[in-house]
Amino acid sequence: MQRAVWWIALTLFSLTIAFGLFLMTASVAANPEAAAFILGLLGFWLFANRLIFGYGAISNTAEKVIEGEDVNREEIAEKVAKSPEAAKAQRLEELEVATLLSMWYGVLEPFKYAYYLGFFLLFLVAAFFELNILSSVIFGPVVEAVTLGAAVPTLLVWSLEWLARQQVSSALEKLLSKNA
Amino acid sequence: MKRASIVLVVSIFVALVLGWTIGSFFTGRNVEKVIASIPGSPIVVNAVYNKEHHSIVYSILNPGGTPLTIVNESFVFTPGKETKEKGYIVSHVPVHVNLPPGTITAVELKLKEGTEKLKLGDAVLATFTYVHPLSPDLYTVAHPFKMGVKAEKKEENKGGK
Repeated sequence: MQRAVWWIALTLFSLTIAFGLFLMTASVAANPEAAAFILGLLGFWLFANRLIFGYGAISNTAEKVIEGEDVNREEIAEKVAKSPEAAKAQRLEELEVATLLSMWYGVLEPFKYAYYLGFFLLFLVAAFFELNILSSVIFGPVVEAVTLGAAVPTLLVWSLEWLARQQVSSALEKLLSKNA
Repeated sequence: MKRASIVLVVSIFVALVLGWTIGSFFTGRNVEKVIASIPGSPIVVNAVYNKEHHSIVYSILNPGGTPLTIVNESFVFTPGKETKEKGYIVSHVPVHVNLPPGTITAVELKLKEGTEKLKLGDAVLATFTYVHPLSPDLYTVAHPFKMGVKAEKKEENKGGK
């Protein structure tokens, strides 16, 4: 049931984005802000991609663990270590899945910080334009549009990160209660 | 599972706010562009006689989105009861005053040199001819000015009640 809701929500979201992109590409020539918005969205998505899919996979796997389904440990061990050989050398496949998931969550931490730093710097410049600390008739709206575009993948990263954190902690609680 | 649904609800709420912000940003930019392409008609918000320069300083507001340019000034001087000066007309004095959009600009109208200082009741009907960038046409705005007329009007209103 939940998976169906997830897929319906994802489809609706993708359709909305695609429709919005179509509408905006139709008016890019007249609106430099629209072009800036799309550039901000795509450019920040490029850096957010690893986080979005990483946190998404962590949440899905954690849910499988909570529901008691079988999970391939070796695949997750490969994500945690840099390579399959490293994963074997570290004997990661001997660990519990929930433990591996919390390690995988930790692996994504530096990428998350770098991403949020980039977004914060852009947001800062946009805020300066908005508060008239900096002012430019041409660059002000463009920077603001880039920030709004960047806010879309940032929202995804933020909510998926939150979801992954909750699911992993639930999986860990289940593991600990089983051990006790 | 309760925790996951909280994440979903909060995320949807934030996403709606974000979508609203994006939508209003683009709507606002479009409206700004439309307004910036509409020329306004200048409004004289205040006129003050400057005794030292023997001139009247008009504060003119350009309420539109395009810049306007005053290309010439004309005025008709009508004497009041207290002055000995005779009435005269000065027409088509070429000037070049830019009125930037959305701001009030001070425009000085020099009265004829060698004439007496304005006295109570003297009237000056000024006509400004201006152009805007969208067409080569000339437009005019005329403003009647009477020395000390503001105080008189207030008294009239009080008397009327």
